[in-house]
Amino acid sequence: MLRVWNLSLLCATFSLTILGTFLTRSGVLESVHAFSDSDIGAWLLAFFGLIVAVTLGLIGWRGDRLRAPGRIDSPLSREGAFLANNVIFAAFAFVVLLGTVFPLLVEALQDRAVTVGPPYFDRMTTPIGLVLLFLMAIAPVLPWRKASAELLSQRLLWPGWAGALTLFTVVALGARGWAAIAAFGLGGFAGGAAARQVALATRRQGWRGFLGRTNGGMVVHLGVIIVAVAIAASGSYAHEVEARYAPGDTRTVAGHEITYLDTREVQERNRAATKVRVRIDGGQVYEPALSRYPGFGQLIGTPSVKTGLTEDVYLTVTRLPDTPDGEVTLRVIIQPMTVWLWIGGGVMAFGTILAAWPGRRRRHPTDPVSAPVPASGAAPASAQERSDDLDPAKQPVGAEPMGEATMGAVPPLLPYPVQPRPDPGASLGVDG
Amino acid sequence: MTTVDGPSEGADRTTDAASADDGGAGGPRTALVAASVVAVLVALLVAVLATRSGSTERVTKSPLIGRLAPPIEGTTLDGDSFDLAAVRGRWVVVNFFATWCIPCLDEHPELRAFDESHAVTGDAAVVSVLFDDEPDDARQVFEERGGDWPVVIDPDGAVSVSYGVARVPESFLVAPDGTVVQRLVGGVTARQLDDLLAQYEAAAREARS
Amino acid sequence: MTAPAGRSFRRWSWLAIAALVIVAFVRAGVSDGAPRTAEERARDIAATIKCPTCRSQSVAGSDSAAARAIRAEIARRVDDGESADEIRSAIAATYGDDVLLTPARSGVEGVVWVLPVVALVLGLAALSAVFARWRRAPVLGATDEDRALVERALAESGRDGGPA
Repeated sequence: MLRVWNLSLLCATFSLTILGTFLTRSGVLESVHAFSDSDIGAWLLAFFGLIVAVTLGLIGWRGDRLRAPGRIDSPLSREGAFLANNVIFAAFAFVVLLGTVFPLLVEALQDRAVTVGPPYFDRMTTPIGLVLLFLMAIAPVLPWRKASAELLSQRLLWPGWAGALTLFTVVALGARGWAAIAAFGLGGFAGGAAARQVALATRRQGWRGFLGRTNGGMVVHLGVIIVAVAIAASGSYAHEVEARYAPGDTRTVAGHEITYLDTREVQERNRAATKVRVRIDGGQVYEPALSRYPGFGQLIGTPSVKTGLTEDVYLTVTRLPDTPDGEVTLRVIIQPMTVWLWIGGGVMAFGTILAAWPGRRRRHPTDPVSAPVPASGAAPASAQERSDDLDPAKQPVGAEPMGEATMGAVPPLLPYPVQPRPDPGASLGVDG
Repeated sequence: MTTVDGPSEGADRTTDAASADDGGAGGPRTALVAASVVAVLVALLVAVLATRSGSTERVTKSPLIGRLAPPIEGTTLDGDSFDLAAVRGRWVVVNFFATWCIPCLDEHPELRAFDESHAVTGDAAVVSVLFDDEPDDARQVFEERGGDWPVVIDPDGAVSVSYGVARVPESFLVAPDGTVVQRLVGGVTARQLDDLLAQYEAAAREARS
Repeated sequence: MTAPAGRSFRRWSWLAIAALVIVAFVRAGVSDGAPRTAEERARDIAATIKCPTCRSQSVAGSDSAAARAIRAEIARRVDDGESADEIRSAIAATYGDDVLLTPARSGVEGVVWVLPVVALVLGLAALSAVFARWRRAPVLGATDEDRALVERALAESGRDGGPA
């Protein structure tokens, strides 16, 4: 299923990395000197053309033979969600690629210079990101083959409440802007779905409910949600104030007290730095600086950041004082939830470890999915996926995990017999 | 609206190729069709990318060329007031510089030579605008290296913004009637300026005759 | 948490959820009344203008000389009461069109805005066409050969004594 998609995405990934290398190494985009400065661009472009020609040729020639005979029964199913996932991510990649090469296209056609910058990318990718969050909420509860509205409304009830309450709370606390609050609400929805899955798994298996592809995947989802919410918050609710401070002046910027103390000159090994000492919230002193490097006339700025759990205070010096007691111009930027980008990344890494945790393997990895699973007999099968409609007590022992095949135990429908493995526990060395 | 022939994408698929999804009934040749479409688009993209040549002409284009030079009114290093309109009738080299900029210091003697040679004939003048720098540093440079053309102090950078100056050194050649005729990025030499002057004067004489 | 709740409870729940969501969105759409200060407006405009000496930073985010000068100019013009579009045009008039971070909405530049939407529409149309074609395709019936295959496999699995 989705084999041609699979292959095409693989080939596209590699081709696009070569294209990206070309775009940055050849200087086509960054500087006015394109090929004339570097030969490597021509080689990279030729390599890109070769890769695309070969892969497109092979896919066009033989791709149709690759297809699996089955088909997707219903768009509202796990397969349908995979398909939607592919289409959305392809659209994301398309938007980024279009925005990146568009200046080159316009220049080729009209000999004019245009810029496509962050506002375009933000505007175009925000709806895609929101759709992805929505998919992240729905996909874990979708069964294979076909889902009914009844099933979804049952499984998504508590995640729905989580999302609605998150949305309501966030708006009540003063958040504005539809894209940002939609991100918060959908984040709550998706987080609720992920938490529900993990809660179900731990209820059945204890701590092992955190392990394995599905459950670890839910933890990764939580990490992605944290990152998405952090991006929405830090992008939409930043405050910035640029002002002049005399020595001893204190200003309040978005709830933080910024006090300018004084300026000191420091001669470091490789530069002469003028450090501006600023106290934030009556606590620690931070030192944004402007430095002069020998041989390079212009001053280079060094910012200083106070990282907090809810927001970051980012200081830069715009203008040094003319006299030792003169006024300094400081720029203060308050950005909420910046550290949560890192925390979200850490959660994603942690979730990956959980997902990669070797579980109780009950089937040899290279056997087909419908091969018989040796009955462990010791404990009920640790299901990766279970339908809520089926009472766990009624499941036959050793039944296949829901995530791998259609619901219920299925005898092998192959025209050849499959030999059961003699002693899977010993060969795999996994605890029971 | 002119139809651009598809934005070329390097991706091996478009969202159209969703129809290349298997399902048996996806069409016996869907992969072939989709691959062909993508191949055409990628070929266009490669053609565009291969013909991008970095041209320095792009750098010296300016939206100001052909238009009246933006006014410059301000105080000079000596404390006098300066107005660009007062110098109309002569060729003017509007030069943006800073003392921390090495190429600016390199071009200083060239500007000085040009200014002194044309002060005699009275047909051209130089005016400098200080770009993101301290007036005292500029005074020091002029004391050390000579030159006495007006240097306008631009505290907020308003003049540099009105001329679209991002980097220094940059100079603009302004004709006697007040229009900008040339933008020179990077340091200039006296010989270069003289040549340009002669070029434009010859062209103007031909146009008149 | 997963006990299948009664149907009517669920229906009322979803209605309540929908109500909460609508109320929240409406509330968020209503601006709090505080107009944007001149500084905020200047910053908004600065965020759409590229710093000419930096690598894809906006004038709001950069501290280079050109960026500071342009920010000062924007602040002056905002105080003069010019609109955002007027200020952007004025800056582009001296620095060139490529100083605007967002391409125009019309003409060749408008293609970059329209094309993703067109691609999305085409993609959705293609998906629905494919699904419609699948639904119309005849359902495969089981032939006698298939039935014999199934019988044999079931018999074999019964012999091996292990369920799937």
